[in-house]
Amino acid sequence: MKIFIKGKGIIAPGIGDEIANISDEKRECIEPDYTQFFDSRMLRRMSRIVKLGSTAAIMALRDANVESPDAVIVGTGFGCLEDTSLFLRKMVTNKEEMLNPTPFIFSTHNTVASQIAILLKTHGYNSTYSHRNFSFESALSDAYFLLKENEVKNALVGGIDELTEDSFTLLKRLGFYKKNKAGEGSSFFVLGNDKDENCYAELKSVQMLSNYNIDEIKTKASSFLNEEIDALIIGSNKEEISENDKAIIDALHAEDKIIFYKHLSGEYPTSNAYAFSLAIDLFKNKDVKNTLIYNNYSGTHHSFILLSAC
Amino acid sequence: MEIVVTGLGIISAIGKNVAECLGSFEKHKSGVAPVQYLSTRYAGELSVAEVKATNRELANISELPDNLSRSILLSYLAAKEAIASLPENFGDTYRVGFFSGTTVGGMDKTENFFEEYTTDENAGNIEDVKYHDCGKTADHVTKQLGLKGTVTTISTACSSSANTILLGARMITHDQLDIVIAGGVDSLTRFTLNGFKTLQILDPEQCRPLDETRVGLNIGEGAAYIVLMSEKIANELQQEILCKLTGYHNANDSHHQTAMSDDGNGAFLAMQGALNKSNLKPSDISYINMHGTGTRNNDKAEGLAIKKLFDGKYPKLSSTKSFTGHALGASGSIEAVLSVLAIKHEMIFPNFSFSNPMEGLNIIPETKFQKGIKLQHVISNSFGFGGNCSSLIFSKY
Repeated sequence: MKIFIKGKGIIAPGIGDEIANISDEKRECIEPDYTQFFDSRMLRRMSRIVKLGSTAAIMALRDANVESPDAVIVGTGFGCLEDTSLFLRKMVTNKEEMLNPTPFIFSTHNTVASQIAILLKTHGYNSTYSHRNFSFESALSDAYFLLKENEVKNALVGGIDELTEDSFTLLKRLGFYKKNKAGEGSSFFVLGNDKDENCYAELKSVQMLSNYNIDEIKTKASSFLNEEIDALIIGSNKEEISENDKAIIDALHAEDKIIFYKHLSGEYPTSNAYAFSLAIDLFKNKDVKNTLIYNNYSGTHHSFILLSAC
Repeated sequence: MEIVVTGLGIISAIGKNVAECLGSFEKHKSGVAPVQYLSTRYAGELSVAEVKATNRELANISELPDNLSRSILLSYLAAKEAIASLPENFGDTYRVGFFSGTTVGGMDKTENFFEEYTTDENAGNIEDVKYHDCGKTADHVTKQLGLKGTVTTISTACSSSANTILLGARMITHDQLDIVIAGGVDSLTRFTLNGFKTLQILDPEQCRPLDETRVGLNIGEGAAYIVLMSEKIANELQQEILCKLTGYHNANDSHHQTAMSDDGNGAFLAMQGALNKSNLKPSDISYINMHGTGTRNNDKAEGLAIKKLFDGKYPKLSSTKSFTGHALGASGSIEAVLSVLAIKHEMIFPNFSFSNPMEGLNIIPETKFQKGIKLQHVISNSFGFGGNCSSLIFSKY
């Protein structure tokens, strides 16, 4: 059974090089007019990350012509940071007294996926992955095998992380933004196991391999590294290609096929979901047959996403 | 393909390994007590179910540094016990997955950091924040255990670790992985204790799940992992097969961020889906290890869902949260371990502190620890905030 990408909804700091919400240090999302999606009463009750997620989800579903998905699977590296910070700060400054439950309620990592389920009144499979820079791949892999099992016909899959004042301060102190500007984004996709006119690309394979050095990866991921690809999407920036990325480029002889994205998306754990949107767009060019996204972190955690033309 | 369970590891308020936890049940000893280890203004005031050890003591047992997050220490100990029967370097020959569920990861370190940080944004030891994200725990633990393979983390509130077991089963079924270590961890934090307190669903004393007079839950902590593989690989590796995993299902209640629908629709769909997956009828089920948190809302909704699905003909049932507390993201795998033990050792775990059945439901949980009870099929329920409902079915091998 083949798995296809049938719709996308992206809220990002910019689409392409031209329109970018850019400051010296941050790349923040260009947010849509939410009143086009929700009434004002609903909007008042939604946190920013829920707005970003629900709106991108609706955009993807409309694009795929799917009213309500059979499964909702979200990846988020850091979850609902705004509400987490709010509750934490109040808890500390009020010395554990006089706390408002609302930020706690919306601080759980599964808030976006569950709010989407409530919004769409869907009772199907619902999950949230929060595994650092592999949060989106994890969600994508889950959807892939769920669809292969034919338990569901379509699945809404997203990658989302928000940039907040506290997350910016803390991640900057941790050196997270040494190579790229701080970023954020919400990228949702509809995947399905039947082919129709809505088809961006076929999702051929997703794999995550942790605690391997790059030489081990050359053997472990040889199926990916023997593919004839037209484009290789990597997380390094143009000025400074990491050792791991170099090794993968060499193995694939892909020097002239590299696509960079972090200068567009900024740095955040699910920026790979934004890279995924760039990858599926490449197939608008009919000469493109295969694209590969290679993502890695800590030097020892590697992921591969292989896409093919429909 | 038969998916079997070959290894178990657990650390909870009632013991630091499988044997200790079983001993507590046998002695009918609940792990719920006033706060003793967590630094909070509610120390001695609110009852919780803590793992009875300081971080330093946990570090000593695990031979890890004591400046790690408590979740890493707990997760490491449970995972290490779970994989004890596997041969050395099994990762060289077999494709391995390590799937962990958690709700707050290293929040214990973050909330301490925030004490200084909120006064000055350059203050506090920034190294403490490295433990915050959910995935850090699994990455640290797998590195420490020398596990290579596919590693990920699920965060679906209180069903997190049940969902890792579902995922493990799927990845084995699709021949993507040979051996999966699935489970989860959560440590007690001020963040969660205060969160649940503001929601007014904490019982300041010992909780009373399924009892008409129940007023709330006791937050717990701990970690538990089970080892899953195909029957074929279990035989190849000469592993003792403890039981089979025959059914699993994930559904969403789609009702409210924190409250379950009145009729427990999500719970009903999860159990029904798991039964369908395993090709079993309600009457085949010998025991249900209920989610049974002790809140007014959960126990009634879950009870109604069970009443509907079983048409009022209840199998044996109990909520072991009356012993272990509600260990949030770890509760699903803690109860999965207990369900496996119930089948393997032919025992039923009791429901602590039950006396009055819930009005209109007539659900009478088991209140005594019993041995010599043959169980064919056991349902383990896990439901969470955000309507995330998952049910697992373990069956006798």
